[in-house]
Amino acid sequence: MRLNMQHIHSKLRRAWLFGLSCWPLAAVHAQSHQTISLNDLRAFRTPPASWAIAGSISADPGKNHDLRTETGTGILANLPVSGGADIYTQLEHGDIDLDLEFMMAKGSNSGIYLQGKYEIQLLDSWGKENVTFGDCGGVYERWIEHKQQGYEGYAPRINVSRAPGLWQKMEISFAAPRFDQYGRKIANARLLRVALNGVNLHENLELTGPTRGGGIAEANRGPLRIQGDHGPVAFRNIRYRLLDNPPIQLGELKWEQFATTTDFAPDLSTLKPKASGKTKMLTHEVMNENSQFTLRFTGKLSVPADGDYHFDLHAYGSGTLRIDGNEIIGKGWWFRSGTANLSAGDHQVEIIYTKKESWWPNGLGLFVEGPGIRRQALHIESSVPLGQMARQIFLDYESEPVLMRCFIDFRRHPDSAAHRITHAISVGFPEKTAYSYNLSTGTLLQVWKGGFLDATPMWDDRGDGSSQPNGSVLPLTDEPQLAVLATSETPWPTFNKENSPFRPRGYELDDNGRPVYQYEAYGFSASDKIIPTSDGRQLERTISCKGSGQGNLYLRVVSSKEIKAVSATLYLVDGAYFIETAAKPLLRNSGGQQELLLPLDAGNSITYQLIW
Amino acid sequence: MSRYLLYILPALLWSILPAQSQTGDKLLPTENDYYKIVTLPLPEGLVLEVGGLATLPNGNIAASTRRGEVWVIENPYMLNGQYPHYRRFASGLHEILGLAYKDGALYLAQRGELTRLVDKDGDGKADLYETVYAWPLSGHYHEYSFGPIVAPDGSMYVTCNVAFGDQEWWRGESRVPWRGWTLRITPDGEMEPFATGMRSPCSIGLVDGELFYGDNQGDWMGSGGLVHVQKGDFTGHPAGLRWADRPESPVKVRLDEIYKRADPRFTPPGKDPIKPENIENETPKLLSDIAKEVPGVKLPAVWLPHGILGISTSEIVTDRSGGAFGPFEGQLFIGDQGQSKIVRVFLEKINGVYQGAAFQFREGFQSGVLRMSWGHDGSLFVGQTNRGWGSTGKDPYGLERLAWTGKTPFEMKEIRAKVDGFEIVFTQPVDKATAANPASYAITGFSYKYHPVYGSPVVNQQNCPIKGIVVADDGLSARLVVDKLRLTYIHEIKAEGVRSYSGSLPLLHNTGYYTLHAIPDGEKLSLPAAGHAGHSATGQTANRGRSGVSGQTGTTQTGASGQTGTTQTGASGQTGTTQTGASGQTGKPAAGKRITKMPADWGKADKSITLSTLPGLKYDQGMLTVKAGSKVKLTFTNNDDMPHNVVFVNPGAADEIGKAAMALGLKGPEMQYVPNSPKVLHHTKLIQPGTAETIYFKAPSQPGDYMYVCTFPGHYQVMRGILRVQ
Repeated sequence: MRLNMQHIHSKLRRAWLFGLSCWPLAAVHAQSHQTISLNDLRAFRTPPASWAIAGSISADPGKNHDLRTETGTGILANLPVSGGADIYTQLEHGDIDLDLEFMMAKGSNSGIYLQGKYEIQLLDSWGKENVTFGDCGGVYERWIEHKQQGYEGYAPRINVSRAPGLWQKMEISFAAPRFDQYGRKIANARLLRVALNGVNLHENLELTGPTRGGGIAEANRGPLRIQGDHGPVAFRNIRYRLLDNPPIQLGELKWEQFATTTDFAPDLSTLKPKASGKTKMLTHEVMNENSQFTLRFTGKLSVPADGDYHFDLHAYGSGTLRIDGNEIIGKGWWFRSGTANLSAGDHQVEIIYTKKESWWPNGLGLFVEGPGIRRQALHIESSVPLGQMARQIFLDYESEPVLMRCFIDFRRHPDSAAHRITHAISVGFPEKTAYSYNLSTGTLLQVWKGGFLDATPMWDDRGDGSSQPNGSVLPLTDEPQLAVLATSETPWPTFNKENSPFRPRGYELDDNGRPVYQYEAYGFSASDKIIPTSDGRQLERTISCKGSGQGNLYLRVVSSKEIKAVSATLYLVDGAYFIETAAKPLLRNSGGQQELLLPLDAGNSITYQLIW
Repeated sequence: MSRYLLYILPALLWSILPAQSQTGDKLLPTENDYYKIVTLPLPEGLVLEVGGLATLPNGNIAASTRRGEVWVIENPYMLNGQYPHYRRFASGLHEILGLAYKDGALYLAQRGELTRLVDKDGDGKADLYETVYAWPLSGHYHEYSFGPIVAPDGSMYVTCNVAFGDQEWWRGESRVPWRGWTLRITPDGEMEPFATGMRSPCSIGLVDGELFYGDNQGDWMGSGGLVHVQKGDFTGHPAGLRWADRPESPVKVRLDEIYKRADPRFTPPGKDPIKPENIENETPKLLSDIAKEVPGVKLPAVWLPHGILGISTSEIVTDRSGGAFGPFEGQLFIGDQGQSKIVRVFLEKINGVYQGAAFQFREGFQSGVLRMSWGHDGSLFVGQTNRGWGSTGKDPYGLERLAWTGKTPFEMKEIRAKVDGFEIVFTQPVDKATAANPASYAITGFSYKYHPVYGSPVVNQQNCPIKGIVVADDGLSARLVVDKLRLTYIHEIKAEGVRSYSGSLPLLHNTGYYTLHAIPDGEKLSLPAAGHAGHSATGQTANRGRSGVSGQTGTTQTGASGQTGTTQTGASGQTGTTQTGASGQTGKPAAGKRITKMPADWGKADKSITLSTLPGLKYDQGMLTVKAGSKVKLTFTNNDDMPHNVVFVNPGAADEIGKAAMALGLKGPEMQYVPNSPKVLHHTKLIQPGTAETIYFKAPSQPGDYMYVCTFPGHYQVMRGILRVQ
C-alpha cells in the first residue's frame, strides 16, 4: 500500500529547502521598507557636483558612457563630466536589508559601499563570458597598500547583468560586525545575501574587513556610500529596512499530547492529555510518539516593538497558530503563514500540531519576522526532519542547442503568483542564452542568461513536472501573441482555451539543431524561429505565415506599461528591455496598456530582436 | 595471492551457483533454470529510466525515457560478446511513457501530447518532432499519459492518469478533459474520447487486436487487473465521469448513478478533511454489483490479486514467438513495477467475454518493470525504472533481456473454465496419483470491495469444495469438478500437492487465480463411485502403475488416499468444511511463538531490544546479539510506509520461510504471513505502518547465528538480519 508517501517525501524536500532557508523566494516582509527620498538631495551629505536629481533617464546601449537625463524627481544620477566623487547618505545603518534599482551606461563603473566600507561592485558587464570580483555584483577585493596586492574579492556566481540603459535590481541583506564592550570585534560583517536581477550571487559571506577604498576601521554603523568617480550611473527606488531590534523570545512552554485519529485537531477543550510537560525548546521531540497525535504548546512570546509580525508555520501534517487567543494561522495542511499586529511586550502563543498519517515523519517548525527583526526560527533545528534535501539535477548548455519540454511556472513579476504553463518548451543555446515558449499558443514567455535549467523539481523522486530557469529571468508575457484584428483599433481578444484558434504542430530542427515551431492560427499556417545573435546578447525572432486564413493577422510583440522609442528602430519597454525591428510597428494604447504590434501578411515574414 | 584465492574461491563458486531451493535433501529447480535474465550494461551517465520500448524492424530496440530522451540500442542481444551500442535519437520531451514504431516513424506519448518523431536527413537523429495531438493538462504531477498502442486500423490509443485533490489529497480527480480517459487518435491528429474509469492506466497492450489495460491499486481500485476496454466502457474510477456527458463522449454511465450506489464519502462542507478508511463490518459492495444495475460498467477480465501478482501493473505483451519463448505461446505477460517481476495470464473467451487465469512467472528484475518488447529471437526486452515509487529490485533503472533456456518448466499451462469446474492443462505429464487427489488442491473464491478507500481487503472469501477429479490419460490435464463457484469472483486454485510424472517435481508456480465471468456449456464430467479408478472422458482407465482415486466429501480414505511412496501430501482426504491442503497450513499461525505479555515467572527480561526500520526494506539493525537461553523482550516499531513483521528462524532458514510465506497466498494476511514450520521460532504479527508490537521469548539454548526476516510478500530477500546467540 504505497499511497502518496513518496510524493510527500518530494514535497518535504522542497518544503524543507524552503523552510530551512532564511530567504523564501518571494520575500514577504512584515515590516514595510522605508525609502530614501529622491525629490532632492537632502538625504545625502554634501552631495558632490556630479550628482543630481532627475525625472527620467535613458541611455543608448551602443554608445560609451551615454546617459541622458530629463528634469524631474525620483532618480539619482551621476554624470561625471570632469571627474566625479562618491556620495554618502545621511542615514547610518548597522544590520540592513537594502534593495535598489540602478542603470549603467555603456562601459561604466560604480559601486555600493555598505557602512561606507564594504563594496558591492557595479559595472557594465553585459555579455561578458567570464566574470570576476570586479564585475557587476561582485564583492570587491580587499587591498594591501604596501604590497599593492588584492585579496578576498568574490566573483558573482554567474553573470546576470542586463544591457546598459536598462534598470537592474540589486538586493542586499547585510549584518554589521559585532563588537564587545571594549570595542573588540567579535564577529565579522556578513553579506547574508546579495541578489542581482533576482539571482543570488552571494550567500552568508563573511567579510574580514573593509574592501579596497573602504578605509581601515570597522564600526557598528556607517552611511551608505555610492561610487561616483568612474562613470555615469543612475539609481531609483532605494528602499531599506533597518534591523536594529533584538530578537523575539519564546518563553518556557507547556506541552500536551492528545490521542488523535483525525487529520485535523479535534476540540481539545474537553480532552485529557495522554502526556504533558514543560520545555524550554519548541520541538515535537518532547513527546515519545511517531504515529498519530495532537501536540499542543502554550506559552509566552515576547516581542521588542509594536508592529506586524509575520509567522510561517511548518506542521508535517496539520497545524494551527493562535496569539492571545486569536487565530493567526487557521487549521490546514503542512506549511502556511499568517500575520499578527502586536504591541511590544508579552503575548500568549498557542501552537497545535496534528498528525494522523502515521507514516509521515514528525516535523514542527515556526518562523517569525517582525519590525526591525530578521526572520528567525523559534523551533530548534532537530524539530524538522533533516537530511532530505534532494541532489540537484542541472541541465547545462552544450555545443548544440538543448531543448527541454517541461512545465514552466511563469511569473509576471518576481512577487506575483505563478501561472503554470503546461505545454512549454525551453531552449538553451551554446551562447548561454535561453528562452521559454508556450507551444499551445506560440507565445515567447521569458528569456534569460546565466545557467540553463534546474531540473531538480522535475527529476527528483516523482517530481512535479516543472523546471526552473537557472539564471535571471526577464518575463515577457503569457498571453497569446497572434490574433486577427478587424481594424487597428480592435482590442486584443481574450483567449478561449476551450475553442482555441491555435493548433500546435510541433517543431523541426534546422541544421544547427535550433527548433522552428509550426502551428496553425486563425486558419493561417505559421512558422516561428528564435535564435541568438550578437554572441548571445540578443534573441532574434522571425515569424512567417502562409495559408488562407481570414482577416488581418497581427503579432503583439509587447503589451506593457510604457513603450518609449529610443530611435527609429529601437524601443525601450518599461525600462526593462529593448525591442529592435526594421518593420514599421503599430504603436497604440489599448485596454490601459501600451502595445507594439507588427502586422503579418500571408507570405511575408517579420523579424524583431529582443535586447536585454 | 594464490593462497588468498584458495580461501575466496569456494565463496565465489558458491555465489555463482544457480540459486536453488531446498526441501529436505532435494534441490528443486527455480525460475532461473528456465528463463534467464541478462542485464544490458549501460554506459556511465546514461540515465535509461525506461518509459517506452519498441522493437525496430531490424531487431534493434528503441527506448524512450522519463528524462525525455529516445535511445536506439544496436546489438541489444550482445552478439559476439560485444557491448550494445547506444545512440541518442531524440531528446527534450516531457516524461515519455510509451513508444511505438509505425510507418518509419516513432510515436510516443509525453505528458501533454502524442508526438511523431522522424529522422528526415538520415543522420540517425530525429529532426521532426511533430505534434500529432495535444491534450489539456492542469499541471498536477500525477497527470502522466501513456502509450501509444497502435491498433490494427492504424489509430493509436493513449491513456491518461488522474490528478489528486489539494485538500482531499487521497482522492483522484479529473481537473481537465480527458484525464482518467483512454483516447483514440488517428495519425492525422483526430481525437475521439474512447472510454473512462481509469485512475493510473500505466499498463496497456493489444490482445487479439483489442485494447486491454491494467490499473493500479488505489482509491476505488481494490487491486490491479487486466481489463478489456471497448468504446464507451467505464472501468471503475469515477473521476473521468466528469466529462461523460460531453457530446464527444461515448460513455453513457453518469456520476450520480455510481455515487448513489457507492458512497464517495466526500468531506462534508465546513468539516475538517477526513480520509475514508476501510469499514470493517459492512456488507462489501463489489463493482460487479454495480455492473448488474448500470450498463456500461466493465469489470476486469482477469484480476491480478494485489500483493500476490503485483502491486503496480505495467505493460501487457502477448507471446507470438512461435515457441521460441517457451511453452506459453499465445499467452499474455504483464509487468509489475513495484515487485520487479512479470506475471503470466492465460486468457480465454467464454460466451463473448474475456476471462482467464493469472500465474507468477518470473521475478528478480533489477528495477521496476515498466515496459516490454519482443526481440527478434523470441526473447523479451524488459525496460525498467522505479524513481518515485520504489521497487523490490534496487537499481533505479535498467534494461534487461529475458530468454528461455529451452528447458520446459513444470507449470500449470492453462486453467480453463468448464461447465462444472475447471480444467488444468500442464506443461508436462503429471503423476496421476497426486494430480487426482483432491488433497493436492485448494480452491478459494474471493473478491474486492468497490469503495473510495485506497485499495481493498480480500472479501467474501469462501472455500470451493472439489467434488471430483479426472486426470487425462496422457497426464497433461486434469478436470476438477468444483462446487460453490461464483461469477465475477476470483478463484485461487492452489495445486501444491501435484507432482510431475518424471522427476516427481512440484509445480514451479503452484497457484493460479482464475477470474470467472461466464460458465461455458459442455458435457459434465461423470464421476466414478468412491474407491474406483477415475475415468477420463474416453472411458479408459489409467494405466500408469498407480491408480488415481478421486476423493469425496464426507469420508476419509486412508489406504487409497493417493499417498505415493515418494511424495508427502500431508493430510489426506477432506473434511466437509475445511481443507487443510497439502502443506498443512491452517488458517492460524502455530500457537506459542508469539507471546505479547511478559510471562509471569520472568520477573524481568534479561535483554530489551528495540528494532525498527530504515528506508529501502531494511531493519535498522542487521545483527542482534543475545545470550543462549536468556529472556528477551523485543519491541518492533514499524516507521515505514508499508506493513512488516519480524520472524525469528533457524540458521539459514530465512529464504525457505520467506518463500513459504509467499506461498500462503490468500491465507497470508490472517496468518500474519508466518507459515507453520518448525523452523519458525518466534514472530510478531504483521505490523501496520506507524504502529508497534512487543513480544517476549527465550533465546535458543544452542548458540549459533539464527536469523530474523520480514515475510511480507516481496521483502524476505532483503529485509533480514542475524540473531547471534552466544
